[in-house]
Amino acid sequence: MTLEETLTTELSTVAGSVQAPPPPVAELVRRGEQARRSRTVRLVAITLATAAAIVAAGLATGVSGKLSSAPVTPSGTMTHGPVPTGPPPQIPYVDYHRLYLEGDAQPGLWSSVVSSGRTAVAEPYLPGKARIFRGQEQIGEIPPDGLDVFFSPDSNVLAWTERSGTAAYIVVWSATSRRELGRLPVATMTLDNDDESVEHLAGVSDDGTVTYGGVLAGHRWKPGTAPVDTPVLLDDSPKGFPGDVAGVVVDPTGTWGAWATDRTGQDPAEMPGDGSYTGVTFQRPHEPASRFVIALPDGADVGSLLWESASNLLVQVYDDPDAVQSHFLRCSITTRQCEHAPTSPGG
Amino acid sequence: MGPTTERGAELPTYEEYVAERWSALYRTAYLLTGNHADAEDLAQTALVKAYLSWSRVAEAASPDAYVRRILTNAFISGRRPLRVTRERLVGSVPDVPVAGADGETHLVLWPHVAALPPKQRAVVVLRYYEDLTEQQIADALGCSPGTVKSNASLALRSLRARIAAAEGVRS
Repeated sequence: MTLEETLTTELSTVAGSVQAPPPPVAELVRRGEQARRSRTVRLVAITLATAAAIVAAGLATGVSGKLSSAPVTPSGTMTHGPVPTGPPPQIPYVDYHRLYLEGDAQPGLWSSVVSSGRTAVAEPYLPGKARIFRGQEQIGEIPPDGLDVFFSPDSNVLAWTERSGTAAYIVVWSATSRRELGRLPVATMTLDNDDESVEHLAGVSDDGTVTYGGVLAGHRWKPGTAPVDTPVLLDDSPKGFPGDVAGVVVDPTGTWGAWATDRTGQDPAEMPGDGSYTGVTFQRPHEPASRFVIALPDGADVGSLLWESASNLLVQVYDDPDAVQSHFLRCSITTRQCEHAPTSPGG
Repeated sequence: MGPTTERGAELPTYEEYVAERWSALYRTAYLLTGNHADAEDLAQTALVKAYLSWSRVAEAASPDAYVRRILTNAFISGRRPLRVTRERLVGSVPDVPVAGADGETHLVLWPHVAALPPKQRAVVVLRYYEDLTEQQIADALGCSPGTVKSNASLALRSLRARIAAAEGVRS
């Protein structure tokens, strides 16, 4: 038997002896939703809080402040008593493949939606182009290979990256004129993520100027002009929060940030045991003394966090660790209380 | 079955695909990683990534090829140098010894496959277990057929040398 024949036989033998555990379908869907949420949260956070500042300042390059995330006592609690019910979420959202815009369900099946103001980009569940909406009106499309959609602070300009064969482009698109403003080929965006030269889109300003780059270089480009080199893009996470927390989402005015924690304000992933995200921590940027925690009802596990307004945070909640379907709570930083935000009639 | 495309072709839902293909993916992941814990982690990582791009995966001419590419790339990019070094130093053996027909462990090459560098190991698994062509392996790994050929050649040469060394020790 040749070496290659032996390899074929042995690999087949080993594989045949492997007893795979049962397919963890629900767990994978849940992790997938969490990963999608993280991506969405990152987009929203960058869009609302960081992109404008980066562009206006010619690319800020500071790193997150290493503030302490020491345990705090919950100052808002949902652990006792009935939870009141308020109106449905007022921002675009997808609930179990159903897209809601301005509170109304849209036809078709959908995977996800990101939005800024009245502009939203929804990805269909079936293969196809992503749709750009203004309110409930569809005003444009993004090819299936369009990635990393960013909104300008005024929500009137979108930018995304697009792949065509072996090439990659940054596309800038106006939601007011409903047309493409320009596209720029960027070869470094085709590189593997392990390549230190890889670059990515970081934001777009109201005048259509995009920022992009990586750890080796940064650039700024406005359609109709030539790209300009800028400082490198070291970190585009919100500033002024504990350096060891992830997934901070900042409200549209930049006044408060929020992130998922346990009921003491700590990340359960960093703690012993198999803890879950049972609380939401709030803090003003650079003001650790302002930090407070809202503890959620028993058994709740936090999913995504979306600012509905400058004072209300929508918290996606799973009622048990194996749940696939979720619901929303609306938590107010003013009252430090939450209410149900039903996503279906009577929900 | 799930919804259909405009061309009328049936598309599997993500849940259906996972239920049907999990075991096969897990076995491939096991051959790549050499142990159950890492195999489960790798297979789950690949399928979570597939979830995020499910519309593209389902539409692909071969969803299996798409997911296989995610899996092998996750394996190769996820192998940290320290871990590879440690694996080589201790010569870690896969955690499932397989008994031969006479009750003895007859796997000559498998322990050495586990010690190959990640890309060579991926090429070996895709070529000799998945029975893929050089072009298909190149597609899965995002490299040229020439790179596949050179990695396969290096892997076979390394395996021959390791066997010879092992036999030398025994004799």
